[in-house]
Amino acid sequence: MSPGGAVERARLRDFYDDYVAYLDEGDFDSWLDLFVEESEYRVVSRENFERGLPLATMRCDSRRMLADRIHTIRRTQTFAPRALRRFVSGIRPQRESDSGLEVRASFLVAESLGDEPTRVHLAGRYVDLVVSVDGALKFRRKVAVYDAPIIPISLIYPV
Amino acid sequence: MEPLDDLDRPAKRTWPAEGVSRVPYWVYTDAEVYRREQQRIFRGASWSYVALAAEIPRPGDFKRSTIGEVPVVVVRAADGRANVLVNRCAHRGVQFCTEAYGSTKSFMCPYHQWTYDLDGNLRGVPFRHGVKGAGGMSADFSLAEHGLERLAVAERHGVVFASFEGCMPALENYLGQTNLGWFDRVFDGRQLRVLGYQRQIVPANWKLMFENIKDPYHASLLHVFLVSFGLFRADMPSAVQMDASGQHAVLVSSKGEQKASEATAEMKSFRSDLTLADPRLLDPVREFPGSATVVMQTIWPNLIVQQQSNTLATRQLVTRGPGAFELHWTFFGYADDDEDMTTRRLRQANLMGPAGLVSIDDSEVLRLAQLGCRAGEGASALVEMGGRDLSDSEHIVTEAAIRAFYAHYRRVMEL
Repeated sequence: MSPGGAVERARLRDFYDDYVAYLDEGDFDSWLDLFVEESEYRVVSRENFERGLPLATMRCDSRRMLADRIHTIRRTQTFAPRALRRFVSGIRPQRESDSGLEVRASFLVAESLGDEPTRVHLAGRYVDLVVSVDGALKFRRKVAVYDAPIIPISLIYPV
Repeated sequence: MEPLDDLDRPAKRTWPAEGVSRVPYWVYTDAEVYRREQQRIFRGASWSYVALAAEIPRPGDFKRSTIGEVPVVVVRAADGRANVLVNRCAHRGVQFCTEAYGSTKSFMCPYHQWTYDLDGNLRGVPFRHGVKGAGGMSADFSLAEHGLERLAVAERHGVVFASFEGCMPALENYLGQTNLGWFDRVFDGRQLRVLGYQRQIVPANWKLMFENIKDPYHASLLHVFLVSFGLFRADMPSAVQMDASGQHAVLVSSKGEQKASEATAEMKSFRSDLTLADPRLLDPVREFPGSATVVMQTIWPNLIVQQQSNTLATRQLVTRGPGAFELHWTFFGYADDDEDMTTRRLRQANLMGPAGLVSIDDSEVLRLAQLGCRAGEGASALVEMGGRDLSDSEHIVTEAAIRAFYAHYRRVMEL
């Protein structure tokens, strides 16, 4: 992949559009397919991230663990119905190495919970590592760093 | 107009005649009750959790914290003691410290640059003697009389508490023998290592959070994840233990197996077929003496100490009006943990916090509890599981620790 090329930028854009669409629509099987098997997924506060503290708010050390997260959300957890909509902007390839292409982007999550008006749930940036497997882009690492130290009520679904 | 000292007067509310087996819904919603709590509980004779010593290891290290709603700064002084100072400039009330953490030699208010040392003493007032002979503070102005409000501090095994009350009993006496024993089990004197923070704001009254941790009855029903993986179940050896006053409590239980029993038949939520594709998420190892694998301790008025398998955390309650509280989770391990143990703690942290596979259930249900009680004028919650008494039990099918909490609450609040 040549990170700077217009074609590659468009391909990355499509990849991220698919990512949020699958999540927003609850198509978790398709969403999980966007990760390689040995991938790393984190949702972490900027507070921890910038101070080098290792704790994540959501941490999955493989695609299987990510699948477990989805599975347990659906089978074990009690929560009020809500709709989430994710917005990704400023998708920018950084440097490419043997491990993949580093990509940065901004995200915003809008949450519509129960009878309440929609509100911003989280805002932050992705610090990702993207690889190409048999012609398809996949995440080897996805880290969603949220800006505010505090989360309204709960974070149920991945970011 | 109400007199200024109305909080010292008898409360306008009357508790239901049944006593603490009822909790009137106005305790969760009434603004006057809330103000009385700030005065009598958080600014009263209590030891509030403010920090772990590992967060401020060296002189000059500080972190911001909160007691009730009062912002404070916890700072390590030159002599090694922790100071707890109200984060409010003596001049115009500005919250002078805005960094969450840091290290400094002094604190300076950004507004008029009044400067304080690490003990909270006022050291400098710009233009104190005026400019070219004009203006300035009065001749009788004394720096010594205008320091920051400084609280009493107690530190035990790396945990820092503070109190607005000057003559508090020693922390050890305050906790009582039983609860001190459980406290010392996790805080055993080893150096702690802070792994990181999680924070959430929940639209519910702060007491509902405390009640939740004092209520083991719900855990065996609401928390499908815990129940299904045998991490907390009504049919496992368990106990509820309180101190003599009822203000502190601990729930103790031990891990069972993932299999059906007479008790799981009543747990509609039990999932015997639930499995993990990557079982590293739950890979607990025994690390404390005794058979307990879950110890959840509530320490009046703002601390929950969590040990669930190998995930350890303090949860600090911060009140935000009658209808909201913040929960600040500080996850920690020990300085002598090896890398495997640290990774294990970080993975098991998936069970806790605002995204916790277990604790999501709680924050969601507490929101619903507040929605239910906010229009509950005249009605009360029923707290009779395990009878109506306040005593310890060797099982978890009880709400005795909630009753004991309210017995203490009523004494402090004169309600």
